[in-house]
Amino acid sequence: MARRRLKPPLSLTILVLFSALLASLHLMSTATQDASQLGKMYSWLVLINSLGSVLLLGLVGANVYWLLKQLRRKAAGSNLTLRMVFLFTLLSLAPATIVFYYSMQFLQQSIDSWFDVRVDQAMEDALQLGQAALDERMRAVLKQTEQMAEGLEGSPEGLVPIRLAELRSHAEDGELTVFSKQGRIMGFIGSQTGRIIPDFPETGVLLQVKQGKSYVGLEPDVGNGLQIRAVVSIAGDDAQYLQGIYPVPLRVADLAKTVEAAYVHYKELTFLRGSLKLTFSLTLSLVLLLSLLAAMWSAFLSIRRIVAPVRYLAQGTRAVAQGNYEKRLPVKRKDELGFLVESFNAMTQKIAQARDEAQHSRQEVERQRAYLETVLANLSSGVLSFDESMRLLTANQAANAILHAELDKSVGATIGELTEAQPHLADLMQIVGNRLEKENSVWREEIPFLGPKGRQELLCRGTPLFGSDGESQGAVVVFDDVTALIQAQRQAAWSEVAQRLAHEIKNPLTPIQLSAERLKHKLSKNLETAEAEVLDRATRTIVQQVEAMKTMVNAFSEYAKPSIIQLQRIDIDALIEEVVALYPPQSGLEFELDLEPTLPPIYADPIRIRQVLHNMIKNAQEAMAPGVSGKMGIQTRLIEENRHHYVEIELHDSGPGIPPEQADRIFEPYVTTKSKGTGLGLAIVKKIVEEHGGSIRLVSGRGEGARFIIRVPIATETAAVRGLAMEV
Amino acid sequence: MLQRLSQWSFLVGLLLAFDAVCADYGFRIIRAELVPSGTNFVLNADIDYRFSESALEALRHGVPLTLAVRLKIKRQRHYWLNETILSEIHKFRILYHPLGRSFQIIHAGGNTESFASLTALLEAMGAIRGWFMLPADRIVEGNSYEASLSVDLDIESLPLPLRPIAYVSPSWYLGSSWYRWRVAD
Repeated sequence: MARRRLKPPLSLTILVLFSALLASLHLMSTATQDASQLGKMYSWLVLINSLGSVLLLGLVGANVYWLLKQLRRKAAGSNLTLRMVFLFTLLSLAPATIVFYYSMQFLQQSIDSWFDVRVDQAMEDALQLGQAALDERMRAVLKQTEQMAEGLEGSPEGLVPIRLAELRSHAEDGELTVFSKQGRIMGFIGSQTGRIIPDFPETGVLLQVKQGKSYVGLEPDVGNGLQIRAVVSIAGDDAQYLQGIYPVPLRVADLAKTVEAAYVHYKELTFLRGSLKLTFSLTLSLVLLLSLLAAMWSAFLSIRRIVAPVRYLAQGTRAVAQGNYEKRLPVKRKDELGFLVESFNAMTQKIAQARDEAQHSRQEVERQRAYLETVLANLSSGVLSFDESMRLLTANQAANAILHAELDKSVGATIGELTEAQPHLADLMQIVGNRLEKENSVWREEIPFLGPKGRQELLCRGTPLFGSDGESQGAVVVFDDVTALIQAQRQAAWSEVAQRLAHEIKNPLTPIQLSAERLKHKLSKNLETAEAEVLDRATRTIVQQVEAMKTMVNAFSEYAKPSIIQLQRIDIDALIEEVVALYPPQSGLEFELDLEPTLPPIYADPIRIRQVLHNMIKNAQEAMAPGVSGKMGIQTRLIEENRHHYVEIELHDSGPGIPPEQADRIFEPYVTTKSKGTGLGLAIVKKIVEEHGGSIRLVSGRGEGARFIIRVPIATETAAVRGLAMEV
Repeated sequence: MLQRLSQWSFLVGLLLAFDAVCADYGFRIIRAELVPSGTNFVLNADIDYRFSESALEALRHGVPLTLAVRLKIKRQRHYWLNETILSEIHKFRILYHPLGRSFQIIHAGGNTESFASLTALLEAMGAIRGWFMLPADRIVEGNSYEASLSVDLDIESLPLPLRPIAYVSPSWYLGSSWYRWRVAD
């Protein structure tokens, strides 16, 4: 703030101030040298110059304080300022001090040289000479006055003026007065040019005369001359006094006055010698002080202006070091320092640009990386990448899901460490590690993986990565969980085999049955009762078993054959009621229906859905203990999940339920908890439901009855048809 | 800091006062009055002049000394600042004549008086009679007036080389304090 305040009109202010001070100094010096008109202003000039000195001292002091503060703060450029100020001050102080010293010497000596003992003596002598000359005259005057007084002795009061006139005629021209003790004038004769009223002596003189001593004295007269006053007492009864005032001849008076004036002047000069020296010294000191202080102040100002760019530069550099590239320094000069500041500004601008570009590209890279990460995360394949020392670099979400591990938390770990952290990955990691170490090209392998959720088949593809210079940069392993695919493949193959097998088994069954019946028919008439009975039993057994085998093979082929479903709009609630109506209370099941009345229609094959319901009810019936009547509840409801709408059918019975160890496999063929049945019921149900794009799951275990939930999507006709078409 | 400064200034003040008392110089107005003289009022006053040694030495070495007698008469007003009805300065110079070994008073008007000795000079200076004419009609009956009188050595009239010293030396600060009195109707 101080800097700004001192700035713009600075040069003008300084110029005016200095001019004023210089003028005042000049006036003071002139006043000191001759006592002209300026003499009256002398005190004011001294005061003004002293105030100017104080002002400058204050300014210098403020600057020194500022500098000290800057130094204490270790502000930029403060050391340079200190040095330059020191140098400037020294440079101005040294010559000024020398000049001052010799000026003082010269002053003292030249003033001393004015005074000379001989001149001194001559002056004294001249004055004494004058005094001697005048003394002689005074004595003569006194004598003459005394003689007149003698002449006046005994004169009666009335005759005094006459007597006085007589005496006067004998004496030289003068003013004679006779007066009494009380001051009463008894006779007066004025001089030719003199006063009308007598000039009384002063009281001291009167006192002296009253004591009987005559008085004679020299004194200046009214004009420009001198006069001698003599007062004597007149002897007699009454105390009377005679005073004679005689002018000193003009020539003598002039000479005496000249001598006196010169003497007085000389005496005054001698007396004032010390004061003169002091005054001159004072003037000189003030001049020196003012110029020194002014020099120091201007030194400060100019140094501050010189150092300012350096200070800005230091501040700017500090700002740049702290990462502030937006800092622009003010350019106020056209010189080299200004050029430097300009270059600094250009530099910081370039740096800022470069930084912005770097930031921009970093953001771009970051965006790309984030994009890639998103893509990776949304891949269904698991992706693991390793660096050249086989440390895990990245793992996507699919990898975590497939391997049931939190691999992204183990980034940076080696394969060995990964195995330690996730023991179930040990086999997989060992195989992958081996392949990665050995292979130099792309490899693929199907690796069985025993995870916490059972056996999974993983199809792994490894790709070693190489840099542009052929250097290894690690590898990427991509793997897919192909368990479901393989299962489907197996199921298809198995279905094919099962169908062929069923066909092959079914073909000989009818001839066997017919042959057994024919045997019975032909032979039973010819045999004994007992034998006929055996035959009858045996053929019946054959027919029954063949029939049973037929049923079994039919069911088997039914399960194995690819189904063809005819989708149509059905009301699931009506269908359920229809099916349930077929099971009277005698069937051993009591139904509790809780159907959602506002269910939308679904697109499904009614025959197949009916089969599902029959199978489920039969399953429940078979689960019941023989002879015990059970309960079965069927509930329907509409649910929404992930913005898809489903119809859920929940079926539960009061049977013994499914033991947990079988719960996983309950939908597989020939897995059953019951003594009756083919073991294909639930497998077929699952197949049909899945063919409709739905799902079935078991939600409760043993002890509380079995509870199944079937979920079928609500879809438009076209979507349902399309979905099925794709499936087929 | 401030306290120390005030202590110092107190000490210096005390020393100066002590110095002034011991040095036994300074002017003192013993008595002053306004007396009617014809149609005017004039000042009669008795002043005790005691010059310091340095002032006397300067006088003996031919340096003329100028003295200023100031008189102020104010009409006292209760409702407003006092009205100055007279404010005059009478200056006179005293000097030494080595030739006649006499002292001389030169009044501002040019009147001169000579004295054979310093004592006579001081006595004559001390007895002020009939100075400053104030027309009698300026004093109105019923009002109250206050007169004040002072006399001091005029440093500005000293020779230039002596002034700086005189300004800083207490022995050159010769002056009386204001002598005030009520003017009787």
